[in-house]
Amino acid sequence: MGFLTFLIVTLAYVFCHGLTALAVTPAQRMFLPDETIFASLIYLPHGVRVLATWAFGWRAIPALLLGSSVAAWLFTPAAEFDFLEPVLLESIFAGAIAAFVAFELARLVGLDLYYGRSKRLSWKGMIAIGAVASVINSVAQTFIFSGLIGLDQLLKVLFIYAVGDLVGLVVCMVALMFIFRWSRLNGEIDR
Amino acid sequence: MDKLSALFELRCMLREMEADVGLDALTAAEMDVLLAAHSVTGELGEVVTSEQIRQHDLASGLAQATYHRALRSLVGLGLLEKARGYKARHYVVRADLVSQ
Repeated sequence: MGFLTFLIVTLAYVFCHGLTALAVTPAQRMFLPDETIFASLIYLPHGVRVLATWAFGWRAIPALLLGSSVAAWLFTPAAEFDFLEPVLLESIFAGAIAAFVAFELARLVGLDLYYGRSKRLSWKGMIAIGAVASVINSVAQTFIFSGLIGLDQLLKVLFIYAVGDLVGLVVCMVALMFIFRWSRLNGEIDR
Repeated sequence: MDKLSALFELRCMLREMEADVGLDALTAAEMDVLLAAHSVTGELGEVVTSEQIRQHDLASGLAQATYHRALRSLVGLGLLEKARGYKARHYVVRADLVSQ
């Protein structure tokens, strides 16, 4: 992975996290105030995690680690940052490797789904592997936050993590689909 | 790894997605009108008028005949539905498209 690609993945993560923090989180806080500090119902950066890991394998992890660290520093309110700080590094690490673990699990069962391998991944396959990654991430995050979350909240946070990651991936893919479509149609019109 | 090839494969993958959600066969004008209708739809199942769609930036530049042809075509393709309870010129963007 070259420096430019590293930078693009990092910035894409920060941008998607920022969009989630500024657009999704305030709305979600109105009806899930206690859980919103831990997880988002539409977590767009999961799309970056899954697509970057599909394209670059383990080499995407450092860019994802940097992106999520910068995003946490930029977009987490000071009071929440202080509250989450004891487990923030573990949480960032779990998020960055979740997609990689999902792709590796698929490889263990004979499905090598990384870009450039013998089996070409369809968009439905990408969403399926993203769903596995979201479950891995939600279990890991719930475990990491278990010291900070009451038992009654734990299941709700686990559910929000899994759903939020998956919805974030789908939204990312639909957005990219429209961006690529627009660029293609504009190209056709220009010709 | 060749990142441009990965991008190309991603574009192919998402083009299949377009086809599977039924957008691939649309002309540029149909796409503009569908996106305009989607944009003026406030919430799931909300009825929008032809004038609202027509006034959106994406559709306002289309010739009158092209706009109406695109609108008719989208209704024919099932991407827009005529709103129940109205005689004409009121539409609903298909619910499963909005929810995506």
